[in-house]
Order: sequence, then structure tokens, then C-alpha cells
Amino acid sequence: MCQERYFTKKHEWIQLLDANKKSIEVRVGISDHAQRALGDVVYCELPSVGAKFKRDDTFATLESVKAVSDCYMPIDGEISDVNEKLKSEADLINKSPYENGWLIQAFINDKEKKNISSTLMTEKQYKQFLETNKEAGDH
Amino acid sequence: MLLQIRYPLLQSIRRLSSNKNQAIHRIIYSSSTNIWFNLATEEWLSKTIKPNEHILFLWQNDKCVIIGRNQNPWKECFLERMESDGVLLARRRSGGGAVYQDLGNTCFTFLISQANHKLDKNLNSKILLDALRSEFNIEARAEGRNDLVYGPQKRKFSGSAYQNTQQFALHHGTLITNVDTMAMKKYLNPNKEKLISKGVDSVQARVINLCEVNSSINHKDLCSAIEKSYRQTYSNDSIPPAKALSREVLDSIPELHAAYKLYSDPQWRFGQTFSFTHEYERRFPWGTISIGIVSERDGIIHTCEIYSDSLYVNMINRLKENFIGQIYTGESIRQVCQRTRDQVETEQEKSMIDDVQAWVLTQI
Repeated sequence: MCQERYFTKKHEWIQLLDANKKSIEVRVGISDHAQRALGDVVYCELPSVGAKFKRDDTFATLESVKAVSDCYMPIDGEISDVNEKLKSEADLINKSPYENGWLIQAFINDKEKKNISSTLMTEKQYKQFLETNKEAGDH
Repeated sequence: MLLQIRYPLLQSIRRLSSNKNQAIHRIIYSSSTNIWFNLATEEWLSKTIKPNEHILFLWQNDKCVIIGRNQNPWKECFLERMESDGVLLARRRSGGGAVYQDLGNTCFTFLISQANHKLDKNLNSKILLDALRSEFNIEARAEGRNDLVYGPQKRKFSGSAYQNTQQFALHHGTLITNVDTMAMKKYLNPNKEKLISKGVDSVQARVINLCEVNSSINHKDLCSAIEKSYRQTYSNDSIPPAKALSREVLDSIPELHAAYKLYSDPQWRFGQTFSFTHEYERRFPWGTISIGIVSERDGIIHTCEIYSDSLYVNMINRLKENFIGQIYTGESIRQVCQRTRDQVETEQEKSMIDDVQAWVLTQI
């Protein structure tokens, strides 16, 4: 799973999983910047397998230190798997936002796969995005 | 994830040169004391907030328990006691723990549009603390991330919860002026050891009513003080007079009705719960009964095990079968027991079912 991650302006990341011939699957989570801003995540409300979402739809909510915050789909997709470990260990999102703290996996189509690299930011671009929007003392 | 981003230099330049992102303030009072109605109103305000708007919403509720978005009501409160006493159960969309409210409590909501501004919860706390200091001579402070406390023992008189979406950021909470603390103990924080569930747990706190610090404080005066403090904080902006939302106005808004239906719906209140198990056992003069309830989600009883050394095996089996598929509320339990009663023939069995019903009701 060495595929590169792409990022949204709302701090979600998306990663293509190793292709199998039948379907294109991606994994989605939140960035390290997001998990730090949220604080300790105490609970995740994740969607059901099979649920379909469009880009920018709310697909999950995270509760941290009493703030409930929405997570938004980076692209159109159908949920193929959710991270069951988060049900008992929600703080995996804080400890390992890019690996063990992933949120969902989804099937996407070819068109959406192309959209990833054309509409989302690479890790480098995301880092720059954070830099230009950074404010000392924020969060 | 929507995390607010500010451009401080750009913002101050904008303020000097144009009123494009000038804050538009609205101060609103609710005229209802029904928790579901007030939550619906708050949601309607959030969903219809316009860019640059800042809303201060002041309200209060008659006897109720409000649980957080991700809590299990069976774990957090004594549902049957609440039902007997006419205490409503509500579930809010923000996070955090369970609270008991009555007319000795004041609720506040700071609502802001995410478009150009950022919610500043520290500023909001300051507005509240300033109100208490200048109008009631109460010197209090913020503690932890969400609490307002008084005195060296840090007794809590206010808690807050938050919600972030694409359109709005919401910060709401309570201020207890003269809440019935015996009722709080009666309905909250049962120690149901054998109820195992996922979800967010409440954190108990030592509380203090503000009337213990200043006996003249009441909801009406506190709201006036908060309004005054809010206006002083935003003295550079022009703020129109406060509005009271009447039931008549609200009754004509369909979105608000839809929201009210959701907040009052048992499916939302009880049903947004992940799996839990609940076990309890009791020895009756006629035998021992152990009950194990498994709910996989939605508060529905998916599995019901009943073990008993009673000889009335048939009755036990019928009771078990009748429980499955029902929602785990007092009303359901009564219906199930009644139905089983009608299915048995002997007076002995009917009396046993009555015993079981009375006992199970005390467990929830």
C-alpha cells in the first residue's frame, strides 16, 4: 500500500489501495493537522458498508472533547469497509491518523480515480496550503 | 473536517476599508420550555444562519435529561424513574455527557456562521463570566476545556458542548441558578455495573447552584445580564433589540416541525445507540431469575436470555420470545409482560409475571 496520499482543503486524506482487477478501492482518513486540532477523539460515528456518498457529503462524525465535527467525502464513492477498531479505540485517529486510524474504505469508479489527482492536493501541496493559512496561536 | 482558518491581517484591513464581513448580531429568546422544541429551534437557527451572522440564543427547559450525541441512555440515566415523573429524555447533536435540567437552569447558545468568522469559545466564556461578575458580584472562572466553576473546590455551575459543520459552529451550555440537585441524583449516573456499552461516558462533577453564591439570581435576570455583557463585548458593532420567538411564529415553519419530530422521536432519542448488553438477577420467593438483554443497535432487544429455576418453563419461554424485537423502554416492557400474562392460564404464573415486570422496570 505505497500509493501516495491526496488531501482535501478540509483536511481529509485519500489513498488508492493496491488495485485489483475488478474494482478500484480507496482509503480515507483525516490528516495529522486535523487530529491535533480536534484533540483526543472519544467517539466515531461511521457509516454502514454499502452506503453511497457524493463528494463533500458528510460520511462520518468525530466527537472530541465534546465537539462533534463532520468529515467530508473527498470524492464520490460507496463504502466497502469501516475501521471497526475505532469502535473501541477511537484515539487511534490521534495516535496514527495515516495508518491504523483510517476511517473508511470505498469503491470508486474510473472517472473519480482520475479526479483524485486533478482536484485534490498532493502531500507537498497540502503542506504548503497549511503554511499559507497558518496563524500563530491558532487551535 | 472543517477547521476554522483566520487571516487576521487581512481581516483588520477589511474592517477599515469595507463592511463586507461585518458581523450581524441577533439576540433571540425562546418562549417555550419544551426541550425538544427548543433543540428544534436551535437547529433551525443553525441551519438558516447567514454568512457573518452571530446569534445569541437564550432558553430554558422544564424537567428533562439531555444526553450527548454518542451516549447510551440506558447507561446514563434511570429511564423508568424519568417516565414515572414526567421527565423528558432528549438527545442533542453536540457531544459530551448527560445533564438534568429544570426551570432552575438557564441554557445559552452561541451560534456563528463558518463563512467568514470563527467561533471563539474563550470569548463566549468571558461574556458569561463578565455577566456574573458585574450584575451579581459572582467571581468565577473557566476550568478545563468546557466548565465554569466557582470557589476553591472548583464546583461546577456550567458545562458546554460544541458542534462543527460546514455551515455553522455551535457552542451551547448550561448555567444552573437553582436546579433541583436531588432530582439530578435521582435520574442521573446510575451505577449499572452489568450494563456494558460503547459510547461516550458522562463525567460526574461536584456542582453548585449560583443562588448559593448570590440568592437574588434567577433565570430572567441572568439572561438580561448575559445580553448586556454580550452587547458590551461587541460594542463596536450595532446590535438590534432582542427578539422573542413565539410559538405562533415557529408553528408556521415546516423545517422546524421536521426538526421537532426528530428530537421527539424515540428512534432518535433511544435508538442512536450502539450495541450494549445488560444483565441482572433476582431471587423471588418462587424462584431465581437471570435476565440477559443484548441490543445490537437502535435500542432494540435482539437477544433475550432468561434463566430460571422455576418450573413454569412455558411462561419463561413466552416472556423471552415476546421481548425480542421490542425497544427496551418501560412502555415496551409493560406491553410484553401484559401480552405474556394473557398467554398463561394460572394465577400463579400471572403473579410471577407481575413480579418480573415490577423488577425489570427498576433495572432500566
